[in-house]
Amino acid sequence: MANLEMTASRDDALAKIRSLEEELENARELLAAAATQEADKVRYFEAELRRRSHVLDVVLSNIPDLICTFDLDGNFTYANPALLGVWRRSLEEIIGKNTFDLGYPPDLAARIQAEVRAVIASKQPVVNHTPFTGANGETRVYEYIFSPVLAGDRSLEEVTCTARDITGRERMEKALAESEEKLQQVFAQAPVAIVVLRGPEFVVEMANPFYQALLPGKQLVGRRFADIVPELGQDVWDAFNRVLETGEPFVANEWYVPYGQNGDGVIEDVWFNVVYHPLPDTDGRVTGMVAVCSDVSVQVRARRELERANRELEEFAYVASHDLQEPLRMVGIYTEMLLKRIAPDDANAGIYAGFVRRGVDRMDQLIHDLLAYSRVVHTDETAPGSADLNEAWAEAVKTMESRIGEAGATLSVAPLPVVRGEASQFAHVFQNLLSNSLKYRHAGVPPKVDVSARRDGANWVVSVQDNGIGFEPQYAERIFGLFKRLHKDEFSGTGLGLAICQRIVERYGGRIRAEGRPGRGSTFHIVLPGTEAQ
Amino acid sequence: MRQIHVLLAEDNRGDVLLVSEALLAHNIPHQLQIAANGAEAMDFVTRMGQPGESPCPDILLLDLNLPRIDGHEVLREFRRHPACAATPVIILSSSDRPADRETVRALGVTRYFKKPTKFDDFMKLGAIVKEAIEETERPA
Repeated sequence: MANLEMTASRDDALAKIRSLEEELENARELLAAAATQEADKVRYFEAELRRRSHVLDVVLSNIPDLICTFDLDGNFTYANPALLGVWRRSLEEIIGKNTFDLGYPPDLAARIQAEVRAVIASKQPVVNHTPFTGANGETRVYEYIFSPVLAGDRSLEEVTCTARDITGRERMEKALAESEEKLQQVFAQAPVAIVVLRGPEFVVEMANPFYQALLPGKQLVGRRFADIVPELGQDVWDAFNRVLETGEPFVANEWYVPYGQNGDGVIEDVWFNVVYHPLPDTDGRVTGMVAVCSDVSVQVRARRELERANRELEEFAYVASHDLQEPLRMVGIYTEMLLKRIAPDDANAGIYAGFVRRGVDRMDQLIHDLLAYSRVVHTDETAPGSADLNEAWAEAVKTMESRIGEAGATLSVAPLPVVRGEASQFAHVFQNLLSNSLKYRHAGVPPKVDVSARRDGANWVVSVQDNGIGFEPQYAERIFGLFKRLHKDEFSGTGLGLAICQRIVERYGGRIRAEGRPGRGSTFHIVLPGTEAQ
Repeated sequence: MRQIHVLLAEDNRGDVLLVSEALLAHNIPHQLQIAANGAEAMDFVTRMGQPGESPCPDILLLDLNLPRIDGHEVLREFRRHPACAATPVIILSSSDRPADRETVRALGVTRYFKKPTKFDDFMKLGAIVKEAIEETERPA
């Protein structure tokens, strides 16, 4: 039994050994397979690493940014070809060197070393910028970042640096800042009031000192315009809204914009010249405006006062000359009566009466011309129509017919334009000029008068030229003055004719000037604005 | 020609004399009633035609530029009188403002005489008065 038992247990043991051997074999096989697999993996990773390293190398070699790495002592461990190019050095030359070794300017070298140390200490990146002069002598501005390279256990391995050339950007930023500063200066120092309004509520975004001066003591920026000056008329709001809606600028001159200037509730009469300029957003939508305003109240008031004074003066001249005529008329008529009734046969009385008559006639002519002069402004208060200067000339010639005949004058006239004004007034001008040409002629030489017209831009220039005695050029302006007479000893006249001409021409927006040389005739040029039809 | 009744409103005595000279020069038999200012003229106009007062004139010669009461007012009052609605009126004036002519034209002014500076021209007023009277008396 015991044998049997022994035999049985040996068999069992053998069987166990066999099975263990089998397991061992299996394990060996598995192990071998695993080893093969592991070797494959290692090969794969090695290949992958090489590939990636190559890609990185290509990237680093071709990137325009400057890249380098530092060890924990602040020595270079790598620099990409772009940076090596700036230095004109090889990789071998720089490894293990620091910025001092590479000949950086001492303060920059020290700064970089300090920054590397700061990254090492804080494990945080550092960003800065600096100008740097490369080996080619060119100085450019770089923005750079130092970053820590941390291992898996967050211990520091290296510090990398990436630098980018921002010279162009910096220049642009600088130019932009300069131009903005200039703009700010203009805005602040412009001798006009400027305010920037935004949005449909017209909130004040900016206001320059001159604008603030229009509303002394009032808070402007950040407030709705309607809250600042609620008393503004509807026409102002309409103009604001129109600019926002249409995107078109709004311009107004001597615009009456009454408002409370002193914040004491008193509305004052104020006149402005304004330009409201639309401000488009980046997407082109008009969301605001720049309002440029200048207070022209002083000028407007002064002009109105001047106009009033002128009107009064004209009224005065009219009344005065009219009242002067009355007593003169009495003198004239009763002198005649004296002569007729009292001393019809007394030769001396006739001579005396003749002097009185001449005095009266001369005074009458003076008053008549003075009246005509003041009347140029008194009449034609309505907007002038158009005047055919051909008609005006014909009328003047007709009025002067007998004197033209007496003088044996030759007249020639080219086609004349139609201008703004009254034909009868221009007839008066021509009559005066014609009268002068007939009067101031060379003794024994028949007067010759030529009238012509030419275009000068938007204007017409009508010229009346004669062959008379002319005048010294220095008198060309003076002859238009009231009672100015160059030849008062030789020729009769009141000295008002040319003043009247000037007054009429200026009334219709024109100018008159004279050209002359002694003995060589005179030319009067009348410059008149052309009508739109031409 | 019958004697005509002339109302002359004129403050300048020199012109008053010239007017009567002009009427004489044209042989116009006349009775001249003179008002030396606007107030006198107004007084005459408001009372004329009443019992015991002067009759309505056959013609009014009126200087518009009268002292105290303006000639335009006198003219308006004159036209309000029923008997004077069609009576000829000649304005004597030293002014020649077109505006003056327009304002009086509306008040039925027959003639406008700008006082001349020559004696002979002034005498022509007689002819104008004669013409105005004849025009009014001509049967329609």
